[in-house]
Amino acid sequence: MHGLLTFIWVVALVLVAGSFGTLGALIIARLRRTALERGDDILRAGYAKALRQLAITGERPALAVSNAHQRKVLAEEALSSAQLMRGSAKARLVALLRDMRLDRRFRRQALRGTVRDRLGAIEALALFPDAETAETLRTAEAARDLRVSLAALRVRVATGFGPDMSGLLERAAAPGAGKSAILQELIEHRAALNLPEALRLLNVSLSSAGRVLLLRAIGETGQFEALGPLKVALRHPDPEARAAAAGALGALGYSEAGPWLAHATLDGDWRVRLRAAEAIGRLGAWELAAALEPLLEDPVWWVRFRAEEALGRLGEVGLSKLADAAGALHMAARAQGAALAAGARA
Amino acid sequence: MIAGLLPQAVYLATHWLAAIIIAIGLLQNCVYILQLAIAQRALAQEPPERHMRNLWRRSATSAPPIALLAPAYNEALTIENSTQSLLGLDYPVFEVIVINDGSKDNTLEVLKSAFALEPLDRDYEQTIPHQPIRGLYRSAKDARLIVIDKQNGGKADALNAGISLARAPIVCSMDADSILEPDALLRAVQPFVEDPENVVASGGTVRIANGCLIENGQVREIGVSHNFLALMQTVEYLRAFLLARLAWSKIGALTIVSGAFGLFRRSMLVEIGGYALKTVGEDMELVVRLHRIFRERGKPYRIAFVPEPVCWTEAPETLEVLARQRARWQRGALETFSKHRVMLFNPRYGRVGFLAFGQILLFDVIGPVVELFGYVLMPLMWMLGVLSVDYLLAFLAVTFALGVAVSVGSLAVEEAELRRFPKASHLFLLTLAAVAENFGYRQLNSLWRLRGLWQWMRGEQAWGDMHRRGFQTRKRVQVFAR
Repeated sequence: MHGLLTFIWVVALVLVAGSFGTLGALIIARLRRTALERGDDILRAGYAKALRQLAITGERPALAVSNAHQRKVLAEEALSSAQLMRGSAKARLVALLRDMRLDRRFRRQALRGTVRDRLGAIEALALFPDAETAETLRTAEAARDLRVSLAALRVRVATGFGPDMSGLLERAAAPGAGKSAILQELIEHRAALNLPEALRLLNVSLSSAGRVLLLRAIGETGQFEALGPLKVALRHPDPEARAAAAGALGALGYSEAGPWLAHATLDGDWRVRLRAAEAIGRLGAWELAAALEPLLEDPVWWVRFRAEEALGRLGEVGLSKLADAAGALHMAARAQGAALAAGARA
Repeated sequence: MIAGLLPQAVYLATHWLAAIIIAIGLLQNCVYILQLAIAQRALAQEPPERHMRNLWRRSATSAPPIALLAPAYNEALTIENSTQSLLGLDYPVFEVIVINDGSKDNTLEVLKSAFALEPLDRDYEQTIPHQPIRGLYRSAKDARLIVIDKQNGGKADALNAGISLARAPIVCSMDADSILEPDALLRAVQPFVEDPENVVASGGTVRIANGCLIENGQVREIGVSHNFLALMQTVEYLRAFLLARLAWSKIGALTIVSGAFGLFRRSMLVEIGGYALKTVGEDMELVVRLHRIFRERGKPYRIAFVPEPVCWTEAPETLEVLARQRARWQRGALETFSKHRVMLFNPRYGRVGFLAFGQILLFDVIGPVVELFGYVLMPLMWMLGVLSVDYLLAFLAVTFALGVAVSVGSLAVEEAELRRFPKASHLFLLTLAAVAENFGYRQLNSLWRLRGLWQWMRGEQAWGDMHRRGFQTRKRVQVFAR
């Protein structure tokens, strides 16, 4: 029985000690952070002034960097300054940072530490475009944290060591990467530079997320040559690809896409209908108002709403369709349709 | 020894009773610890986006329009600031519908003069029940502001009127005197953007505004109140309104989206008849009804909880008001439990029937009774000589240790993952509160909940007066007194 008593007391004490220990550690960490950040404004102003002096006169400033926090602040300031500097001033800044061995530190930091610190270091490495940096970034791309991985990829591309378009599309297959605005931006950039390659890649085997990103990127190019391949993509078996193709046709901005988009409003998948409605509104294709009308009774509210919004963008023809619908549809659609019509008139 | 004089049956019965009480207490604490672990994991895996600009870039184009429903009853002192603050939210498309629920003060007049209200002609069909609407206005200064003037009917009734008039696909129910952070809507709408087919409701975190610096209806500086009760509630809200709800939403069994801040798909609310009118726990009842209807229809659905959109609310600072509030919450939970009792442990309702209703049974129905029994029975057994002082002390130690561990653990998760309290001194103060709440505050809470149980058994329906100090000026406001 004494054993049981001892056990209960030990459990109680361990629970209390563990709780206070954890919170105590967190409070100490907070205090340290607060103390470190207390003089940040003065420190920043000093670093900024020194870096400006370097840019203007070429004189090497004396920079007091005695701990990791100061290094972080200097790195942030140097990065901000680097965005404003060009040519020889920027080269002098980078040379100074290299002399301070900050490039090595950034490389080390890019591979370990907290996510926030790693992201800061990876972004700073953009100032040091060399093979060593590229290698570090390649290693960082394998990080489990998607933010770290994609930040490393972006910097690798920016420094000229990045993968080609198909390499970028492969990355889209990683969990969560397909929704990344970073990857989308990189692929859009590549597609804008080389549309024929982007169109060629539509015919190779891609992950669903990769195909979606590629279709969107092709739409953003605004090139007429993309019209045909996007039309073909509207018949792709993957509904996400069809939805992306419909959205891309809207982004492309050619009214020739109208009949295909009208056909896409009949698609069995709501995402395709939604994107088709949006695209019709974006094109301002008033002759397709009739194709949007059935979507006002779509079972998915978002499709209904986008259809109403699209009709609202089609001018008088769309508004009169909305007014007609307000008198005929069931309650929910009627209220929304009337609202949009009223809003658009106001 | 008295024990020797007790019949064997009584002796055994008291021991069994004590064992049941201890088991239920341990079970409750195990649930708390499990919730903490699930919430911590969820926050670590999906840390909230810190920068508003990133959120805006990613979501603004696909964010659906929202109608903010703000019911107001005798809010003349604060309604101008509250409304101004709502109109200042960062969200692409939204309208603010203030519902003047038959205020006896000059709430409507204040709105009319502050926002240059003009009569509005807007078609609507009363498909859900609410008191008659006396007038409808739109602001000439800001077309996004609509004011409904209606006969008094209570908060649920006012929200129903707002739902009838709203035209956005998503409605946001809130209290007129709550403060939403500027990015709260954009954050809370994320589940609707990511999963528009299945998400029917989404709740955000409610935090205590007492102790914060508030200017022009915005929280300018987060602080911690030095009022003992408000401090206790700050810890309590972290544990129960942030981490517990996050954990329940992660396992698909969230039964409450706070009335102070919740987003709902309007068409669903119309379909299920809006808020129930004859209950004091209309927010919980609505969510449970959503679960029930979707489960009965066999339709996929999701009720989400997003930890970062924050709504700030004023907590009661007097025992009298707090006692009334807690008793009312207890009544609300019991009314919902009773109304939908068919769901309890019914396989048809899945996790909601087993886990969520099991939790209501454990925490709200039998919890307060058992806890009080425990506090009375243990010393009594010791006095009767059937419980040794060593065991009594050990039992009390482990009970309080678990309580402290859960509260301090909640604070630790907050600090590690969200870090909303700006100063280390806040954490220190809250740590003291997390310990102190186990010595008196929790026991008082149990008493208040017992009072709620008693009121529910007697069929009481009153909301009771809420004396609030107000964010801007000291004031006294009656909230939906009926």
